[in-house]
Amino acid sequence: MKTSFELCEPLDPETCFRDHRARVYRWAFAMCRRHADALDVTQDVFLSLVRKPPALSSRRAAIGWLRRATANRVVDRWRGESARTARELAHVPREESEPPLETRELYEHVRAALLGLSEQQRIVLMAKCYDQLTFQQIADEIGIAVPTAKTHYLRALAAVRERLRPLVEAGRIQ
Amino acid sequence: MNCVQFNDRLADLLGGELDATQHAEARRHMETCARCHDSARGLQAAAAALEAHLPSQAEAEHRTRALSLPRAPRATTTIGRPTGRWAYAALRYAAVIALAFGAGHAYRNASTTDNGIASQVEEPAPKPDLGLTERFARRTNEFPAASSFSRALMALAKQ
Repeated sequence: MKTSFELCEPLDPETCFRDHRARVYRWAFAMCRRHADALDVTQDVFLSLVRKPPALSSRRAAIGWLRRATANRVVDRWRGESARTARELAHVPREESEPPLETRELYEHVRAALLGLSEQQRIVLMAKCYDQLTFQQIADEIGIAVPTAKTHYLRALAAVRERLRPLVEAGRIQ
Repeated sequence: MNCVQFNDRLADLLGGELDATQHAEARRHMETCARCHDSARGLQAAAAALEAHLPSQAEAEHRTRALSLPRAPRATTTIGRPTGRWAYAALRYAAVIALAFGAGHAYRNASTTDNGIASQVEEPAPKPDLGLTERFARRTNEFPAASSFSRALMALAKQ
């Protein structure tokens, strides 16, 4: 999905919410794969925007801030979940269209791989793999140089590859 | 293309940002260099696994519809929770009046049932000019079953 760059007011939380809530939800859902979690993350992101609006000069910077905030909220949530006991998690209601066990296991590995990345690597990887942005767009959005974005992307992929190597060797991933 | 040039373009290759000529050069190099081939294939598999983990755009779009905001409220009367002390007071008086009408209606039906035939035969005697409290006491004595309800109504009215 290509991100369009039409003009808006990046510093106004209400405008930001109206323009970007669907985008934030999609990012959150792409990482969480649970509707309820994605909604919670979306709410958290915009609450933090209301409580402490960042000083941003452009719409791209606003999107970059939202992307970073979303990824960080998801990771915080994952870390919180891993700290919770299995008994507590057993009471979490399941999604209606929850995938089968094997797919969920792959999700767990991907999630662990994403957790092992640095913040920048995670953001670049998600922007590239999910939003299909170019490196130039990613660099503009999160305020880094294009070669840096490429380096983050390659390192993130290498980390994911290492994490998924047992599954690849077992023939469970092509 | 040598290995250094290939590695410089590896991110673009995996990210699909090479043009046709550069892509063909990279492919040729991968055919001749096993190390670069394995490196690129491994990273490509990781990217594919990650993309397989991510939800499809159609699924994301479908779920995003759930986020659509409700329509703005109309400019006409809003029915909602009353706010403020006066709203609650008005509601209380309205409830008392409605209950009083209901009780009056019930009382009228009951008196018609009890004295219906008699009232058709003979004219009712002219009622003496009594005060409200006395009239209430008389009615309470005439209809003891409804007395507690009537007392409650009077108490509410006096408030």
